[in-house]
Amino acid sequence: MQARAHKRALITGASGFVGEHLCAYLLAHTDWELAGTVYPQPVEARPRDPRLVLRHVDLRDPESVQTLLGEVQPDTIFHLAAQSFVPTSFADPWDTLENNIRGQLNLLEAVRRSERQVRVLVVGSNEEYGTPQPGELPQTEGSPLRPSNPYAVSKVAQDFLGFQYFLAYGMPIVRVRPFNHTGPGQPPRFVVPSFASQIARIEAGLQEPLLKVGNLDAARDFTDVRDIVRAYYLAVTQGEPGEVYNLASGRPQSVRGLLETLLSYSKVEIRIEQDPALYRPVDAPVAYGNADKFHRLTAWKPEIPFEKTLWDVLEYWREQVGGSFQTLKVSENL
Amino acid sequence: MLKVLITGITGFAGSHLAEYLLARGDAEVYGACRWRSRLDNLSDLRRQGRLNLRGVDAVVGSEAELRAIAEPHAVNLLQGDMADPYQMKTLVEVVKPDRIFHLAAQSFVPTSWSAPAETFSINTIGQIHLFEAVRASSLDPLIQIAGSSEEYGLVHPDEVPIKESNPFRPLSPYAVSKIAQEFLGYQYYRSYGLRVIVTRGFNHTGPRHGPVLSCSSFARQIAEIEAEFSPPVLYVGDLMTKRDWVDVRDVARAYWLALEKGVAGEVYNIGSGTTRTVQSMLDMLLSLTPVAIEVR
Repeated sequence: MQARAHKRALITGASGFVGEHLCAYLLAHTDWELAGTVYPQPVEARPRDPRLVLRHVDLRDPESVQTLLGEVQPDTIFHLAAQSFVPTSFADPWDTLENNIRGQLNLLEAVRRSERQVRVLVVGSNEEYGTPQPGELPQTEGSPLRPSNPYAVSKVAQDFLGFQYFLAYGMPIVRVRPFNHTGPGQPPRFVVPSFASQIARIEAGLQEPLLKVGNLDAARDFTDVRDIVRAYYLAVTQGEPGEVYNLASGRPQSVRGLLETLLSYSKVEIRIEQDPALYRPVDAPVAYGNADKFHRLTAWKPEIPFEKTLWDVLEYWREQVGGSFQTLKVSENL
Repeated sequence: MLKVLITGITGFAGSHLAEYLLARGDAEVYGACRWRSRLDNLSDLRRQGRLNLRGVDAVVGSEAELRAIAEPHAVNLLQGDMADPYQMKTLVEVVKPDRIFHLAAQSFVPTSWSAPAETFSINTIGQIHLFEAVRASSLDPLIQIAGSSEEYGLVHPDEVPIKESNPFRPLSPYAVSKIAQEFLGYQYYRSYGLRVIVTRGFNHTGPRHGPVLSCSSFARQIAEIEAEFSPPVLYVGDLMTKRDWVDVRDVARAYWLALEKGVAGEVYNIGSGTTRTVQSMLDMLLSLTPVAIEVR
């Protein structure tokens, strides 16, 4: 194999919320060449950066994945692509399982057949832990897994599939279980951008001053997506193959509290209405994680205060709404 | 009488469970099988006239139709492909089972190495179709999901005997697919209150076990030598491997007990609690034959 001037990384799901932030991070902090997969939307005609090449690939198709790996020849893979919206997974569980398990299986099989040493980051989720029982907080990597939605089941399967390929083939696979993360660019079906986008619309006079909310009593462990992608980079470069790491802030934030913070950033008067349709069948009241294992390895901890994250998300939506609400990336809302 | 539905009834464990339930005599037994499934494992029942095949050639579409053909003291096979959500729905609506034993799976580990995606699809989608069929009905059956000791995979010496809380270190795609099945069962219990009970069976063996598996393979070779079909040489693999073997007939009884006594949402190991080496199992088999056999 020829020595390369630059390392090559493959990012699946590169145009997703986290994928875009990860690409931006890698472009800013490494000299790596990047290849990203995009699906189901087409690749944008104009690349954002010459070091980032996007390809339209359905990871469920083994031959496409094989071709992709052969052409990109990555040293590192960040496997981000997934159906990650919990309500969608309830509506069609098999679709989510197939997407998330099959895509990863095709990737790992293609890497295995290539016989190249490729470091692979497998992205799980705090959803794997599900509802904690008394005395189980914060959730550590050793906490019991009790997935309470099909998305979470698919992440458990991805997690163990990554582990199994490490155990059976010695492939350098590192697994992470990020807790909730948010930031600019997250589609508004998730809680923080849902609130922020509605506030921005109300400010712009595009929505009556009424904000529909789900369960405000839930508390979750939120980290800024920009801290999360930095952790992904550290995990794939420094993580111990076969190991799994929580990525978390270690503190619960109540949904009510983050709503109040967002409202405090706005001058308009907004009425709050609870909408039972926004509740999940099973919702853990409080969940937060412990990321000490990853901190000990890499010294990583979240650096962006949550208040700044909330402000940035609101500003992002003000910009979106101010520019033209019609140009929103509708595809991501589907 | 209780109505029991067994998926994977034409398989090794499924056929023994069917025989066990018939022998108990306190349940109507229905089994789902694909059109033109091999029925080798049910041939004893067939010979005894206790296998009802009238529901196999066409999908039985209504309860009345089923009543017309069902036999209370036989195993009633019904056409039902786990891969087809509509067939699963019809099956559940027609049988109205009080108990479901979900044994259908691609369960051969080596196949999962060569065809991991298929193993995943078969093992997870069939279960989703079954669960969704139960959800769509007004029934509240007890449902057993057959997990496997393979889920534990790599086990450290200080972890034996393996408890249900032992970490999973799966070594094959089959094992990962069983983990997915198990957590899917837990999730449907949590989300919808489906009364799912998971069993993790350790190695089970017994009559009719596929000859590719060590115990059956040795027994078959010995039988062939005794019958002078083969020269007196027995071929073996790694004899130092340790396993927890349970007779499949004890496993069938344990499956029944799991639904009789088990708590929904829980997981139960089904093992003998003792491990033997393949060597000691081979020695026991050899002690049962008068023929002198060379082991290679």
